[in-house]
Order: sequence, then structure tokens, then C-alpha cells
Amino acid sequence: MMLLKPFFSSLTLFAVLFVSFIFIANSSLAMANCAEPNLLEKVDAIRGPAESFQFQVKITDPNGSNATLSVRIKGQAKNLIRYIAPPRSKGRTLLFVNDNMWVYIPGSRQVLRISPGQRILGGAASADIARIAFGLDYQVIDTEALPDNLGERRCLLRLGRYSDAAIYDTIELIIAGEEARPIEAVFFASSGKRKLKTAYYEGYQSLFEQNRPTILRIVDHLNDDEETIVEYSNYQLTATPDAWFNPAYLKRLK
Amino acid sequence: MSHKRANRLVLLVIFFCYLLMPFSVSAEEWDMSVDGHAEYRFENNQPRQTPLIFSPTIIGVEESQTVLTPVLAIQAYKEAFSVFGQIRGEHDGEQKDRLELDEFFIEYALNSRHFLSVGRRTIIHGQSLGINPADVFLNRLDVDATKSVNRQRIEIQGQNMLGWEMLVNSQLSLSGYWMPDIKAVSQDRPDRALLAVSYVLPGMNADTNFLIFDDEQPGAGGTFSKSIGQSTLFYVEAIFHQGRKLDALIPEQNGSGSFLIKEGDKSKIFNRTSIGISYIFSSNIVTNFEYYHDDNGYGEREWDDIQSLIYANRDAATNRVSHRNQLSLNKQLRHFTLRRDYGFSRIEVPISKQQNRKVEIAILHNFHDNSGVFNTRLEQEFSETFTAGLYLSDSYGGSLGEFELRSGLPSAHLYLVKTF
Repeated sequence: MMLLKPFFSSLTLFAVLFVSFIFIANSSLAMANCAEPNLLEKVDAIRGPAESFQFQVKITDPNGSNATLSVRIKGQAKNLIRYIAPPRSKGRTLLFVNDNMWVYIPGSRQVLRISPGQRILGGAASADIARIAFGLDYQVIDTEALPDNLGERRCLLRLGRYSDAAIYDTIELIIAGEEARPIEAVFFASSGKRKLKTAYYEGYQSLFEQNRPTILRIVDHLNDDEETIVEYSNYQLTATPDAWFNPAYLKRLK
Repeated sequence: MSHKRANRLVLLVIFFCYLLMPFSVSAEEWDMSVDGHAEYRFENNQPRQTPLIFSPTIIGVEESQTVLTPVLAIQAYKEAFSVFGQIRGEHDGEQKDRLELDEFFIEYALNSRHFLSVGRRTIIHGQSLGINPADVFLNRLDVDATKSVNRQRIEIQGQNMLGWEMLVNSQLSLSGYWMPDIKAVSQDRPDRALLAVSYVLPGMNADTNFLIFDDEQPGAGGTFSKSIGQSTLFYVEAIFHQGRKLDALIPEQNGSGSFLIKEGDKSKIFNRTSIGISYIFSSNIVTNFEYYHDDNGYGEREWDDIQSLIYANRDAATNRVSHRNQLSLNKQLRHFTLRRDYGFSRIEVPISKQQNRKVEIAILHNFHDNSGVFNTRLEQEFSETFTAGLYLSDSYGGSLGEFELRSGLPSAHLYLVKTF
């Protein structure tokens, strides 16, 4: 036995070194993946299934109040949001074209330019709903590999403000898998340190041949971590006419 | 507008509608939606005597009353045709019922970019909340300032017109409107027309409008609004028109309090400009600050003359000549603003985490005599369809200050709105 002891010690050392090597190699591999240049495009492709499409959104605020919206997206930069419910807001329409945003209030016959930070309900800002593509308003500042989860890579992308329409200064976005599914996004104020809210991308379902999130859970850190739930449904691939994205058309939307 | 005239207009529009509609269209094929709201309001007004108004009854405001205001809006679509209508009623405790046809027009889409319309409708340009000079055909006195900012422009009577709109692309649109001076539909106004070009400035996050209009004081102007960053909005509206809107009041030399009315200069160009900025905080507090200049307003010397006239006729209650002079002064000074420079500020503060309770405070301030009027509104949404609110309004400034002279109307309203 005494003769075997050095042998076992060497074996243990070898095993430790081997496992460490595998771990380091694996980590290096994950780090390499996270540096992939088109990660943000992949994330945007998951959130937006086509060039032109529409869906419905139901927003439930911490108080239990609901709003149902119809959303039309064309390209990455043209979005139309129309309130279906509650009755108080029915017909109210928000239009986003690049960095430009307008609101139309039915009956007022007036289309008003608005700021991107305008909220819709609870912790959800209009841009949270309409700006499907992160790549429009933010750019990747750096990436960091996180420990794998169930054999899937996980990356942390730090995004910095890129356009005037960006309503957050920085975002820390956690993605998973080769397809870069968004899992969690933490939004920071202009100081870069003040955490405003965290969004969790949940309810992944197979839509248009890819797993896509159908629930966005927003935790509002400015309001005692209250939760606003955004549920996506009725995805349809439709071609919205260009004229609909002219502010003068808003009063004609049915 | 009389009910007779309104009825005639409705009949005319319906007749026009039937002329255009293919005979095969049946009512059930129309895609129709009916929306509306009803407000039940208790008002407590304290009309008071001012140097310009010797008897509060002269302004016809009840001290206390309950008012029911139902508003019904209908939209119907069928292929290239759209019909929009809005009817507003008012019923108060004195059984003085009123029914207004705010809008009723038919729009025909020649294609997805060209639209023709006929009927009564409201058109608005510009972004200012306090005073909106680009809204060239609006008589600001027609706006019920006791309503919230959004409802002020919904509950208002439109104008009878023929309209044309062309959306050239997603940035550019052209529009033209004609409000003819035809007895049945003129709404007691002269021939009016407006041509507008609206353009979204690419890459600047800005909108601009150019307007040319024909009215009693024809003119041209423009608007510009630009969002800056995530929270700030800058906007400006400027209108130049030929001829002064206000008449000059020239006291007679004998000190009797009588005066001559000299029609405003019809040859000079007058400017009305509003410059504003809006900021929205991350807590959803919204603020607006606006400066308004109006060349039409009375200058210092003219205002001194008006004040001397008001003072000279202070015994209107007992002197018949002074009474007549004061009534005439009242009529001449019945304009939304009388001076040249004003500030408007508004703050809307959500006071519940769920954003369903908010306070709005708005102030219109005259920079010349430091008089003004302020409105405070507390609103609570109780459910998806019920909103309750409390509205308080009063004026401030010296007894001969513009707003103390004209309004003298502290009021409190308690209201409940049901949306359906």
C-alpha cells in the first residue's frame, strides 16, 4: 500500500490538472463564442421573425390593470402600436419611424411628437414594446462569457447607447445557446450605475421555425421591484403599407 | 350654429354619401365602431364682480349646477369610404339641453395615398398646449378650458369643409381644405382655405409644417418640433398674418368713459409665435414650458387707455352711459388673450405607483401685468372605464390685471367619467 500511495497522489494530481485543463479550454471556447461579431443581430432575429409582421401584446401592470395593443413592425425601424383595450385608451396610436415617435389620441385629430421615454403601462415604456431590435439603438461595448447552463453557452453583452431614441444608457443582456436567445436584460440610467429595470424573456415557443420568447417580465427597480407582464400572441406575417407609417395616416387606422 | 342648420348639414352630407356609395352596399357590410364617454359633473362657480364686469350674471355662469355631457363617436368603413361622426350633448339642472354635431364627414380614398373628404371636421396643426397659433381657424374661446388637455380638443365643434390629403411618402404629406361661405354651411364665417405641407426631416428627429391660409386675416406660417434625447421635446410655431385681430379703443377726450373703436390695421403684418419645451422624467412626470408672443395684443399705452376706460366706467351699476360703455368694452375685450407676452407652464405628476392617479397643474401668466390663471386637476382611474376628478381654477393679479378683469371666476368641479 505504501508503494501505491505516490502512484495515487500522481493520479489525483493528473486528474486535477486534466479537469482544470478541460475547464479552462471550455471557458476559452465559451469566451471565443461570446466574442462572435453578430450576436446582437442574432438576438434581434429571434425577437423579430420577419421583415414585416404583426402581433398582439397584453400588458398587465402590478395593480392588475390590463392594456391590449396591436403592434405592426416593418423593417427594424418602423413600428405602429395601437391600443385595443381598455376602452379609455382604445384607438390611441403610437408611431415609431427610426428615432421619431408620435402619438395620436382619437377624437383630438392631432398627431403629436413624443419623447421615447413615454410609458405605456406599469414599468413598460413604449420603446420596450415597439423597439424590437436592440441593434437599432445600442451597440455592443464588450462581452463576457458566463458559466454554461445545462451545457449551453451563456454570454453577457454590455450594450451602450447608439441612437437618440435609446431610452437607456447601458444594457446588460444575457443570452444563451448558439442561437443567442435573450434571457435577461438589465437596463441602466444615464449614470450607468443606477439600475432602472430588469426584463426577463420567458415563455419560449416555437414560432416561425424558431424558439421565440412570448412573455416579457419587467421588474421595475424604481418602484419596489414591482412586476409588469407583457404577453405576446397572434404573430402574423403581414405586409403593412408604407403609407401607414406617415404620421398623417394615424387618424385613418382602423 | 342653429339646430336647423346642423340638421340641414347632416342631411346634405348623408345625401352626398348616398350619391357616392355603390347601390349594392348594404349597411351590414360596413365595418363600424361606436365609442364614447359620458361625464357627470358638479360645478361650483363663484362669478364675482370685477372692474370690467359689474354684475356676475352678465357672463351667464350658474353658481352651482350639475351637468351631464355625453359624447358619442362613430366610425364606419366600407372599401374606399370612411364615415366619422361625433355628437355631444349637454344637459344641466336647469333643463337647458344642448346638442352639438362636432363632426360628421365622409372620406373617400382614391387609393392608399389620396383622400377626399366632405363634411364637418376638426383639423389641427402644431404642438403647443397653452396657446396654439398654428391652429389658425380655432377661436380659443370655443375651447372649454375646464376639461383636461386631451378632452379640450375632442369636445369641440368642427368646421364644415371640403378636404384633400395626399401622403406622398412616409415623410411628406400635402393637404388642402376649403370652408366655403355658403349660407347653409358657413357657420357665420367668411370663405376660408388652408394649404399645408408636412414633412418629417430625415435624420433630425424633427417635424415641420408649412401653412398658407386665407381668412379674415390671411397669412402663412410654420411649425417645427424636435425630440432631443430620450426625454426632451422642443417645439415652435410661428404665424404671420395680414391685419390686426384686435380693434384699438380710443378714449374720447372729455373723460366721459366713452370711446371710439378703430378697426385693427389691415395692411401690416402681425406675428403670433409660441416656443415650448417638454421634458419627461423617468418617474413619468411630464413638464411643459411655453412662451407665447402675439403682435396683435395691446401695447402699454393702449392698455393704459383701456384701464382708464374701465376706471371711468366703474359706476356702471348706477349710470346708464357707463353701463353701456362697460358692455361695449366687455364685447371688445372678449378675446382669449389681450396683451403680447405670456408664459404657460404645466406639470403632470403621477402620484400612485400604478400611474392611475395624477395631479396636473397648469398656469397661464401675463408677463406685462403679472396676472394669470391657474388650473389644478386631480384625476383617479377607478377601473378600466371609470375616472373621477376634481378641478379647481382661479385667477391672480391686481384688480386691473388682465385675468382678474376678465375671468373673475374661481370654480371647482367634481366629475365622474364613464368610457364605453
